[in-house]
Amino acid sequence: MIAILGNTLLLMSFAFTVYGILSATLYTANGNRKFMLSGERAILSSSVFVILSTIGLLIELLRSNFTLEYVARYSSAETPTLYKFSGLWAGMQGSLLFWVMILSVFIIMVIYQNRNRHQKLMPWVLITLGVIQLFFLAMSNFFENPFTPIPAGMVMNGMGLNPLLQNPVMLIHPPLLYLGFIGFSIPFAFGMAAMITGELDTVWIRTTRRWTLVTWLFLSVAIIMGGRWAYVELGWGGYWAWDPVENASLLPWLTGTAYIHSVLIQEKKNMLRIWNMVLIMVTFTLTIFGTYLTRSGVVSSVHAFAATDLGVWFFWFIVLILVTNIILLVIRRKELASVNRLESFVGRESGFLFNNMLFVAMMLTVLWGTMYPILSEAVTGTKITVGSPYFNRVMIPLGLLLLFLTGVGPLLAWRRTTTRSLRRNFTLPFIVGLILTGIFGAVSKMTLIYPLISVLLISFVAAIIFLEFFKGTKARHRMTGAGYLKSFFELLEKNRSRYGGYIVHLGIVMMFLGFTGKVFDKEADLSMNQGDIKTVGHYDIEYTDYWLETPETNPDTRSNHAAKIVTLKISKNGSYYTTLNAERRFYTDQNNQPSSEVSLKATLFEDLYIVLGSLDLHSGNAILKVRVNHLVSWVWLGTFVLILGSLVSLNIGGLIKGKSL
Amino acid sequence: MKWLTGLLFLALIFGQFKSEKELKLESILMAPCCGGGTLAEHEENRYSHDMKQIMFALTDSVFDKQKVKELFDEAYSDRGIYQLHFAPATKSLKEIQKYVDENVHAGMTLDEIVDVFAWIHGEVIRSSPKHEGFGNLVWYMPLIILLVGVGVITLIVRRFVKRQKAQPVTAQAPDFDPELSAKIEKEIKELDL
Repeated sequence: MIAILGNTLLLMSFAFTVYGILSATLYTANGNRKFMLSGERAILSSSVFVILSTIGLLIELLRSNFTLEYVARYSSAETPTLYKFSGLWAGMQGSLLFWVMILSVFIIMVIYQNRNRHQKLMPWVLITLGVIQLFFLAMSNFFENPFTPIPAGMVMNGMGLNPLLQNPVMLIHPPLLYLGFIGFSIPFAFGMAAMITGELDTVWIRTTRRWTLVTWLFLSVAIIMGGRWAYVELGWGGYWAWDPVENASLLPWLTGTAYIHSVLIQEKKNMLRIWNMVLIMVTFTLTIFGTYLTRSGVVSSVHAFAATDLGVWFFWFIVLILVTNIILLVIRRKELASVNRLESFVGRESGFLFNNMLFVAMMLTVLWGTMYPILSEAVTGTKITVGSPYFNRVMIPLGLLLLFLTGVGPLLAWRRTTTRSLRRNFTLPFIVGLILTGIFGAVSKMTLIYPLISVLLISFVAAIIFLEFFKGTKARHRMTGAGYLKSFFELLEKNRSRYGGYIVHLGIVMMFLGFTGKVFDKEADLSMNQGDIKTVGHYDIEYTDYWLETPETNPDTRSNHAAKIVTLKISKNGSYYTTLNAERRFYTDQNNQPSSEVSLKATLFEDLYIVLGSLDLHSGNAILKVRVNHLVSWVWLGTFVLILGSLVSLNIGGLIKGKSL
Repeated sequence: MKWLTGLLFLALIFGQFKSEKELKLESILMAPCCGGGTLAEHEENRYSHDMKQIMFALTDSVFDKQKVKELFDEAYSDRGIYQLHFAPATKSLKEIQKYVDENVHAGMTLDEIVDVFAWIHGEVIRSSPKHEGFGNLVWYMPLIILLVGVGVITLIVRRFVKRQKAQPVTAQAPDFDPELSAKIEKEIKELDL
């Protein structure tokens, strides 16, 4: 019954969206307000239908209604309830519905927030969002319908959820990624509306500023959560492998980050107006492109959905977006020309331009590397791979250059910066950087160039940020006479955008420290029998026990899998350190598909990372992969700082008090 | 202080850890099963395990050709490796045995080792393209993108800066408007907020 209702609602929402778009278009032609209201209500209704339809699918997943093909394919009676939620985005049909559901929530928010504002822009915002919604509804209704039934009684139990998705991080990562992707539809729709109506001042930028920041925050956190998932679930010891699907999420992040920097120039100096239009168009297109990559089967990836016919439709949708935007940009090119001009190579405006250039260069490099195998196969007929060694080699120098600009950019004055000012601002941080790099090089005996440059830049940028806070707080203390702590918080309060940005930069710096730690990572493969003690670096690993847990012996905690477990007593430098249990799971509802559960002891400085490769229950012989990974915690800590900085920039207090996005 | 102590540990030589060479070997070939990463990035399975064993034997300080041949035989007599989705073996066991007999020798470089696997599995097994022919394009493009980007920005800035410098200078100083001046000062201050 719920399935039939869900399917009907999905069909109705398609029809309502078509009507909404037509009605809003009629309003733009004849100016009759009734058409606008009618269109708005139709798209609102359509959005509500989509939400209800998604709730319907979720209920069916929770109820394990195996008369639905989707439910039978992505869950089983034994799937833990929590992971039945993950079933919603585990497959193609569910993820498309989930996509359009989030878009629908955003559409409702946009319509509500702007009900009495932007009368000229809103019809076109509505039409643009309606077209995007319609595209995904068409996919959901006619190509990948999540409510496709199978005869009752034919399937007694489902196939279960992919074991890799049965991780708490996977409950958060995909929704955040979707929020990050879909959120860019809003600034894109406003940009389109601005170009169509000719309202090209900063209104569309200011209206969507918070949307963009929130979206960027979601996407940033989603990407890092994806890394965290790979780290604790995939068992290879790293968090980023430059897989095409990982790259697909990074592409819009790179241009989105460029955009949130360059809109500052438009807001303050009314410059880079064409550039901002291009950036938001490219960012939105890349979100669709990312979806295309994962669904078309054009690239080989462990994260990708199986190849389907959807790729063609996504391809033509991307073409439609690009062609429409290019035509609009050509028509509006004169009105979009900057009013103000750059005055110097060494000024904040130029700094932002170089920062933007670097982000776009990084995006093009990642895109190039990701798509090159297809190009190569088309040209030479030979299938090749562009894997992580390539990306690490080309992206590390670009990343370091970007880190350098992260420090330099904010210290450049608007218009032009004098040599004296440069010297005054950079000397101390540079000296701090040199001293810390010297200490680091001497202690670690590091001779590789990139880690040394990285440490130099990390210290340099961190010193700049701390000095900025110190100087600002001191100046405020001198001006108001308030205590240092109060002055610090007042400084944040008065300059949220600037100091929030510095905190975000600090988070990025901390992440770079984590990335740099990778050069010290060590790995060992061990074959051990019960009672063995093996020394790995400064760790003594004692294999004390092993056993098997099954759904029968542990029905509450292991309802859908059996687990071979070894207990390892770890000593560090001769003293007891910790006890770890490493697991190898076999998912009974997935043809006993194996999955390793990483056992991890993380500290600020290093992680002891152990994966059970295999365990012979007769002899007790265990094959273990032991890694000592360095500074990884700084990547996760940096994420928290990044979130904190974004919240400061967003004025989260103001948002809670009722200011709109 | 904790930091320094921590960093000191880095200087320790970890006896049982894989050598740099072993780690490098694991990163130059893709896992043949699914393309889900290099051998280093992929969870160990029988195919990746066999390939690693061959590579380690090929680079062993004591080269044992008989052992290498046995490892090849073991890896490529498994029918599964001919049916992999990503990079199946494309040569029969007989062809591989002949090739190994004629081409595999002591002191092979990393490139030569990768060439052996590329001959068996196709170019797709390399974790990054060769620096030759069309493969050069993938390596040089990032540099080209960066240079073009820097060039474009330099041109834009120079054009704007020159244009401003070329503006005629008025003989008379402009009228001083204190209200306007205060407004400008205020706006400049706001720009830095």
